[in-house]
Amino acid sequence: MNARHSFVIVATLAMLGAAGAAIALAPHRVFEGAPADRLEALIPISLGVWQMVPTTTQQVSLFAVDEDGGNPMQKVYDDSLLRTYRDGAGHLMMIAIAYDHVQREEDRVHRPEICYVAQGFHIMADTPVTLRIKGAPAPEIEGRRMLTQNGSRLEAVSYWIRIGSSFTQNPWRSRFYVIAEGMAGRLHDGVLVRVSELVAQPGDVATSYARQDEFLGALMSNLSPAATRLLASTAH
Amino acid sequence: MSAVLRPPDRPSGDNAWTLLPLAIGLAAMYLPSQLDLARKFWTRDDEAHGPIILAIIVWLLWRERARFVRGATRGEQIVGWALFVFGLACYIVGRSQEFFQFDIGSLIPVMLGLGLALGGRAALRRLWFPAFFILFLIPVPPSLVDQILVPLKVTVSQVVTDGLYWLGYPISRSGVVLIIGQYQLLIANACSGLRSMLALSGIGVLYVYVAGHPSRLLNIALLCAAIPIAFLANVIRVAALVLITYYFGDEAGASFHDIAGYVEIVLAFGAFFALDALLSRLIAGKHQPTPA
Repeated sequence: MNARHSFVIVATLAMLGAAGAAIALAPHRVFEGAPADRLEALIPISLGVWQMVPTTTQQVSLFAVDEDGGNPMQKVYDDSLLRTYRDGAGHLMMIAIAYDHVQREEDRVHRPEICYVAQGFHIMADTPVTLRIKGAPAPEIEGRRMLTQNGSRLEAVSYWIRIGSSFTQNPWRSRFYVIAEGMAGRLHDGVLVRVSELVAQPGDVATSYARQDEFLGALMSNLSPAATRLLASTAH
Repeated sequence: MSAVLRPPDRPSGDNAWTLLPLAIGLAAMYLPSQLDLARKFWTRDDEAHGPIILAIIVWLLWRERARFVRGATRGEQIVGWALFVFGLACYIVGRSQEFFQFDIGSLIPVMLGLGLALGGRAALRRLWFPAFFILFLIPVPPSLVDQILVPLKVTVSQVVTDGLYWLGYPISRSGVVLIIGQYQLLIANACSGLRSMLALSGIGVLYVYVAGHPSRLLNIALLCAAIPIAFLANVIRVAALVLITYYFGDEAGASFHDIAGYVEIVLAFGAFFALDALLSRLIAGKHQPTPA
């Protein structure tokens, strides 16, 4: 038996060991604790001054689906919701929520950046922000605000993504969190909360963002504790 | 002195069977990944080139098998082991966490590490191409697809619109929607396929490698041409689709759409052969010895 033979045997055993380790390290325990209620039932149609109205503007879909339906990014959520609310002054606020029980690298909640671009929008501004929403279980929510444009349509967007007990402000943080937790054998759920409003000109975004925070405050104040926990709590 | 009679550089596969356990180890690691890939990605038209690329990699490695029994220096063995172990670590993280880019990508350091430890730098030199080809096997992450795809789609639509307008056709464009005569055509993602462009470029690279021209200049020129040729083939495909719809109606356009992918590959291959023939002649002409 020469050096090559022993090398071959050791290397082969190492490879079989790696294959076994990969199987052993794959997380099997599913995170429990997320309510199984449907989002439709969890989110009231009346949120303080905001009332749900029939949608008049086509909302940007939660999916980055190609118009021919052939996009590889087509993703199916366990639950999702798209609604429009109106306040007494006639402002129209759009809200989109997507929920998935299990987040994996290949199967994470899509970031709005991807959905908007896939649907023909141009992202004019996109900044990380710390949202302080009245009534939210987490005093500070790490989210993002974007100004998007498609032809003559200008849309101001605020959103956050919660994965497990972490608000992941960018895709790398999501990826790292999901993989690190997965290596520890833990699987987490994920939720995207996105609100948006059409604005007449880029200068109006500050007013719009303030209104979006107000709307999110009204949302949080009118939800059950289970629902606020689902959308915006880091205690999971 | 019989050893002298044997050409020193002739690859002899006599001892290659001793490497068989490695093949079993590789299969234990990567066969499940490939099955996952097949289930998740290859069923989609635009990544159907996967099995072909896998078969080509296996064939390339088999071709070089004699190189892996030549032995390596101590230093080469250490670096080889380090690469190999690094690859295994990437594999374990990628495979257990369904991170396919790591899972499949780890094959590159694993293969290079094994090659270096077994056959030294000489074997490593023969492995750069199979390693490069593995890149075509890694699924493109969706976020990256959109970052590259959308601008590409817009550029293709723009080139087609400008070209046909210049030729006098009543064509206009809004984003990725083309309007010609009474018809509206949407340039969908699958159409201006980033993946088909990738596959076409891959085919070009393979062509250069297998053809093995002695002229380095020619090889570099052909490699540089792979991406523009793939882009041009795509423009021609979209332009043909637009014109067929314009002259023969929606239905004819739709049925052409189904075969357009193959037309594109034929076009790209044709362009490649033509360029190769042309460049070979030019270079051969230059180096022709002048009669004394």
